[in-house]
Amino acid sequence: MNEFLPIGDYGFHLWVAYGVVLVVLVWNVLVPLFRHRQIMRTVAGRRGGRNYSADIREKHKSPV
Amino acid sequence: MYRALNQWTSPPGFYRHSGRALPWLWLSFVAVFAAGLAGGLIPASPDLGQGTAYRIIYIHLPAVWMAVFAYMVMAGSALIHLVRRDTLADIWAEASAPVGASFAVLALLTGSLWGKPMWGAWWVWDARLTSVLILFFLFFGYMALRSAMDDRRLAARASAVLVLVGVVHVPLIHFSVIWWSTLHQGSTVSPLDAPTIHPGMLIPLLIMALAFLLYYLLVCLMRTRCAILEREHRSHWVMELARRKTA
Repeated sequence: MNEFLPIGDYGFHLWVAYGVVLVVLVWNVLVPLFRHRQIMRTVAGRRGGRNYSADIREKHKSPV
Repeated sequence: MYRALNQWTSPPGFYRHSGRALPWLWLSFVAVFAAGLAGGLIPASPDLGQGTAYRIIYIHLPAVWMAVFAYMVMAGSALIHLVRRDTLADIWAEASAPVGASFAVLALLTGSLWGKPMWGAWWVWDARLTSVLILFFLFFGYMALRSAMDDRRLAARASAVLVLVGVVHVPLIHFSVIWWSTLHQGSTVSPLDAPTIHPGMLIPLLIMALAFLLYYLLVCLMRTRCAILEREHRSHWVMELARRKTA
C-alpha cells in the first residue's frame, strides 16, 4: 500500500482510523437495510404465524 | 402548498416520497465520499511535523461536526414534537440518535488515533475531548431512556425534554478550547473567522463534510422509513406493500 499512496510515518494510525470509519459507516447502513427486510417479511406473514407485535417489541429492546 | 407539505409530513406520504429520494441520495453520497477520500489520501504533501497523520483531519473534523449537527437536528425535532405532537418529528429524532452517537464515537476514536502519535497519549482528560465524550453520553442516554420506557408517547416526550436540556452542552464543545487551556488545538475552521488552513486541505475537508451530511440524511431516512412501517404495521397500505415486496 505504501508504494501506491504517499503515506510515510504513522501510516498504521492513519489506516486504522479510516478503517474504523468505514466499518462504522457500513454497519449503520446495514442495520436499517436488514430491519426493513425483516419488517416486510413479518408483515407478509412469512414467519410461521408469530405474533408481529411481540416481534416489534422485542426489536425495540435492542439499543441500536 | 399545504397539501404538498401534508404529503410529506404524513407518515405514509413520507414513506412513499422518501423512497423516490433514496437512490439519488445513495448515488450522491457514494460520489462525494469517493471524491473526499481521493482528495484526502492522494495528494503527496506530508505535513512537516506530523508526517501523514494529519490526514486523519479529513474524517475527524467532519465526524465532530456531524455529531453536533445530528444533536441539533434532534433538538429541533424534539421541540417540534413537544409543540405540535408531530409523530414524524419524533421518529426523525429517534433515528438521528444512533447516527449521531456513531459520529461521536468516530470523532473520539479517530482523535485518539491521532493523539497517540502527536501527543503521546490515546486519551487525556482535556476539556475538548471530555466535552465530546459527554455529547456521546447524551446520545446514549437518549437511546437508553427511550428503550427503557414501554409507553411510546411518554418515552417520546421524556426523551424530547432530555435532548432539549442537553442543548446547553453544545456551545461548551465549541468554547472548550477557548475557555480552558487545552492540549487540543484551537478551531481550524469556524463559521465566525476565516479558516486557518491551506485551501488545498480545506477543499477535501469540506467535501468530506458534505459526504458525511449526505450519509446522515441517508441513514436517518432509512431508519425513519423502518420506524414508520413498524408503527403502521396494522394499516392497509403497509400490508399491501409487504405483500407486493415479498411476493
